[in-house]
Amino acid sequence: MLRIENLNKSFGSVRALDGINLKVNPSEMVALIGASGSGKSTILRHISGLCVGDKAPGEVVVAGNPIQANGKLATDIRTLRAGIGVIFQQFNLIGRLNVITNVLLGALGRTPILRSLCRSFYSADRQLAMESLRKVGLESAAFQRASTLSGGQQQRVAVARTLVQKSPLILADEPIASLDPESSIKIMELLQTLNRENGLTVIVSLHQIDYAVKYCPRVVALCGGRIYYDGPSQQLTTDKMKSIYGEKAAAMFSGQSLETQRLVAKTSPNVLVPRTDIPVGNTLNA
Amino acid sequence: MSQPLTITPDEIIINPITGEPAKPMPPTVEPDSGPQRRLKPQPPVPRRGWGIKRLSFLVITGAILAWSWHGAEIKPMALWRDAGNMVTLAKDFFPPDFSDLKLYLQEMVITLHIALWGTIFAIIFSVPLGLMCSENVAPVWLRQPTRRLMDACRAINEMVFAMLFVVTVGLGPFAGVLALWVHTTGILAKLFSEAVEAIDPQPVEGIKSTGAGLLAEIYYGILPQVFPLWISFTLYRFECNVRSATVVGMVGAGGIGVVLWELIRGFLFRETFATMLVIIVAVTIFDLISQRLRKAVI
Repeated sequence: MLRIENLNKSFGSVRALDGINLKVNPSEMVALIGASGSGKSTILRHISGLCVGDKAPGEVVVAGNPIQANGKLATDIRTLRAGIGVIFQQFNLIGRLNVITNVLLGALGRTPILRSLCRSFYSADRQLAMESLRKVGLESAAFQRASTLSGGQQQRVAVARTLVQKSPLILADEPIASLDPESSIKIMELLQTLNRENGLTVIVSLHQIDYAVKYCPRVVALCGGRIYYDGPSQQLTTDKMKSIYGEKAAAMFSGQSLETQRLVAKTSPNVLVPRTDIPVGNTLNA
Repeated sequence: MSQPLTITPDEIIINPITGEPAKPMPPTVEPDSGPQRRLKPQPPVPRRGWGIKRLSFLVITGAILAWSWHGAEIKPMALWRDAGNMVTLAKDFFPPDFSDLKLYLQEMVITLHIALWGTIFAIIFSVPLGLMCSENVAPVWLRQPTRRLMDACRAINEMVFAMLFVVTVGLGPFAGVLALWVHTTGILAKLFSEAVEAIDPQPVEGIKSTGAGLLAEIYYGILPQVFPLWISFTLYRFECNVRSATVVGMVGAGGIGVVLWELIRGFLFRETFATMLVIIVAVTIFDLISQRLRKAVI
């Protein structure tokens, strides 16, 4: 489904991506984790062709179509983007348009320009848009302005938009970073449904390791623009997290989400887990 | 200090997390106002002195102002010395003569027609040209030439354009429409492009990621964001054009300006005053209407 070979990206003297190699098979659900600035978003932006890598040998191929190679975007990138659904942290809806129109915009890639300028989308697409809204549970808000919805609702509209887009690959760039826990769970469950029932490939970047472990069988961890870990999420140990997030943050992290580690422990008994019957602070000092 | 600051051993609190005894809070000492509290010398607030930079700036500003005063031949004394002339002229204005009111109103309506179509043509051209001037839409090879062209349209006053168009299309309102069109395009394109450059790029990326073409991306990603501002700019320019349209007539480009110019040249000041009153009323009404509309849009 996705193949990245030797992708490099520098912003000035900072190396944001350093020789990334990644392969994702169809119908996989992969979490991208890593500290801020580790390159999660940058990778996703390169896959969707919103960013171009350095002018060095390297390429990004989605579903057999090269998106970019050697620091140059494909010439038919606008058509290729239709096959890659993107969900953004800030939802990126058009606030002044109503919800159903925002969802319909997913069909822009296959709508002739005159039709889309007149806002006369195909009736099949209109039906699909309404169905998608039903799927995310927002059909009652179809004719509200998108800006009047809450963050969680807006993100569900964004998911509906990618559904209308009918892309086999969905990239979600920190989709739950600005949402409350309940909305976050809703979004992650939606993505999981799309992955399991519709067979879509989903790559989602996350800050919250517990969500990554819970919803994604495979985790790719980034550190300083390199892939540090790529494998089953169950084998992600505290030690590994320490080196991903740094000693201090990992310590705080291990204190905060003991639930994650218990979850890990349940699935793989080999992993060392801090005892929960002693105060949390002791693991801090350990 | 009446209370002792020592803590008895049984009062020591053990931190349940670290297992270490908690440190006692340091006693808060009320600042005494007694004589033992000496006033510490405050670090002086840095004051800006008369540095050489500041001085030379003032000297240069002063020189420019003096030079312009001389160049513009400003003579305040003339106001006082020639006060008699002004009183005579002002007297000539009264009472306003409305005997030709029908003509004035007809010409005023034509003036509004000039302003309306001058603005509409300008909008039609400013939308693409404004986008072509915007950094986040157009590449540099397209942006820079378009910007310079718009600079030129703006730099030259509509009166000058009116004189030129009178030569090419003859006397009459159409020359006025053309003059307003060119000048307003220059202004609106700049204002439109500034609005486009200030948009939030994220929704545009959202549209881009659906595989939209460039036109659809602009139509759905950019236009909804700039729409209220564009409407507001356009209405403001329409207000300005109603005022400008009264003047372009003076060089023969139709409307009430022609009448006004003829009356002034014929020293018919009572009729001139009546015409001026018509213009004032019309312009005021349109200013009020467009302000209402602008508030409704934003």
